[in-house]
Amino acid sequence: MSTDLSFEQVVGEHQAMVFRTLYRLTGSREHLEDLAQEVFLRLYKSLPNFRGESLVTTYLYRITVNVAQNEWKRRRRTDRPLVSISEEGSAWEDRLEHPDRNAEQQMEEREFRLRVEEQLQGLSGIERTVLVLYHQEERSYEQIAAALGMPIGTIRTHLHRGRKKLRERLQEQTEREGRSPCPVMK
Amino acid sequence: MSGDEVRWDHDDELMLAKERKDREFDAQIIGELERVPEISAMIPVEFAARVAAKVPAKSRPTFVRARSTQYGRAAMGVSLVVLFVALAVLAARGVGSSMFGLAVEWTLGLQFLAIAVWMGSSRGRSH
Repeated sequence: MSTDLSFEQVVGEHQAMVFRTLYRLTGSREHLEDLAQEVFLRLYKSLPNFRGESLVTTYLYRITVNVAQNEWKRRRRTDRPLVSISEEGSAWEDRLEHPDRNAEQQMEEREFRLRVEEQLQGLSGIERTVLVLYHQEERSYEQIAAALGMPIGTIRTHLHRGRKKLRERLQEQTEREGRSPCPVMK
Repeated sequence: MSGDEVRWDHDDELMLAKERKDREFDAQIIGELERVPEISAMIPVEFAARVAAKVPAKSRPTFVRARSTQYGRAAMGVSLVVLFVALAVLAARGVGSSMFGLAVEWTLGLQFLAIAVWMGSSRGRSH
């Protein structure tokens, strides 16, 4: 990666991964482009420390998580309420994504999805990060441990704890609102 | 069938139903977590080109090799010459005929040899 062209190629290859990870970690589309840009600029600055192409993804995950953490801190400092994914439009797009399916069922699924996203944002930063990297990004324990600089055992603990908390909070929310726990899949 | 057995069966059924429901609930949560968000619309066209343009074209990292000084080596070279001259002078004056002279000659000779060996080996390491 010694030329500008190859750096552009690296950005092109990894931009989707960075955008979707940031999106899920921050729970918002706001400033997403700026944050993604910061990730790649940090990557560029750290290029001299690179040990090989195989580490690019791991390195990028680490930078992405750091940038997301800074964003959480910034939001806490400014005391801004989190603009959740659920409030950011796309409702009609989501509703129309499977026009052949039952509208009520689609609505239920969408509501469940939004509840999961909402509760995911309520977890601690590390639990949310581990859940996103493991489930959404399909990273192994070893890869997550390498990206976050933590022992594998700690990653397992956070993953288990995060899932448990998420389930309990969703159940509580469901019972509070008197809904069925999950949408009926047909 | 007694009333107890009926209640047991009923409890088992309730427990199994609850387990099944919990499993379904877990599967739904995992399914949502595994769902990859649709982000293609969020990535601006030419994002990669724009990021690359922000990077200075001529700012590639350069590695400057630190220059090592050669003062010690020069001092050793001078010492070698001085020792050689001293040995030559002592030999010309025939100092080695006395016990003291011989000891001085051997001492200087050994120092000369040690410095020569050190310089030879350090030259080998530096290349």
